[in-house]
Amino acid sequence: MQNRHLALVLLTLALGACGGDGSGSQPAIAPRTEPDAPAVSASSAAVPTTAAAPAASSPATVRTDDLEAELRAVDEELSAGQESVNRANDTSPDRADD
Amino acid sequence: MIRTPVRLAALALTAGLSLAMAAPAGAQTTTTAPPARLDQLKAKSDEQIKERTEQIRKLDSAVAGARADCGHNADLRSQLAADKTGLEALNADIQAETVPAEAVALHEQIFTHFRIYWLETPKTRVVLGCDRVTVGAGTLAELEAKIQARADEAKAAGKDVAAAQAALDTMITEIASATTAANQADDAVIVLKADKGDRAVLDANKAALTAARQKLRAAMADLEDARTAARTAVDALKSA
Repeated sequence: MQNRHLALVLLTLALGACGGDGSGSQPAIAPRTEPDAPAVSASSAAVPTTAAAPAASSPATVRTDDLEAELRAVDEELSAGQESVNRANDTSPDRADD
Repeated sequence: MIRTPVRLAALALTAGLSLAMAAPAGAQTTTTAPPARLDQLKAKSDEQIKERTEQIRKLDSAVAGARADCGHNADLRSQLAADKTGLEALNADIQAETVPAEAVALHEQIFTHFRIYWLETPKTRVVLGCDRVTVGAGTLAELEAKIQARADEAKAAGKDVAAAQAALDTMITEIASATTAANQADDAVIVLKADKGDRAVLDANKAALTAARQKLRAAMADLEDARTAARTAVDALKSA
């Protein structure tokens, strides 16, 4: 692990010497703080326990956001229904004589 | 009525064959092979029947793929299957016919005995329209139940939900009205049969189709009213 860390530091210094950003004085790539640090699990990345999760709805108001989504779904169904009814009301026959 | 070149040709053939049949006996020639015009009639009949069986296939496919059923989808598919079988049998009869006048009479049945375009196509569209109204009514009914539950919760919490409840009651009424109208349209067209050349039946069928279309339009208007009431109910809950 120490060898890997040393290699990374050398690589960082080498890149900095190349002047990746044109300045020649700052490394182009910021060094990692800890390359072998364990990955943060999804569970441990959850909302901090000290911060209260937002309430689903305020006690003072009736929650309707899900109903708004339902209304949009209804609009889609009614649009398709209107199209079908329009087709049924199309009196121009596919054939003119039977 | 606008007649297509195909029908005009058929009429011309009919007239020609009729004239031939009416010609003095002494003027007729005795031949063993059918006249060329009979062959043409058979070819045209085969083409027209195949067009109609393809239309039947499309209609049946649409009914098979319907997301809902007002109650007559199976019956309609049976009717379409019978039309297909009947047309194929008629085609066999026409192809086997050797008497020109008989062939002409059979050829006319392609239209009068099946009415694939004048009757079965609009009938199927009305049935599918009813099916679609049923889907929309179901979706609205689910929404109504959810809004009602939310209104009940709000009422239990001491809120005034009178406006929301009135809108919900309207939703229920409109959904029921739409369902009734659409089912009436469905019921009215499923019983229609091909007129077989009877003008009175043909006119009655057209009138029934027109009335069914009006019912479907009314059903959609009811669903739109139910949707408007849903909006009103949700807005009323927001301000409750």
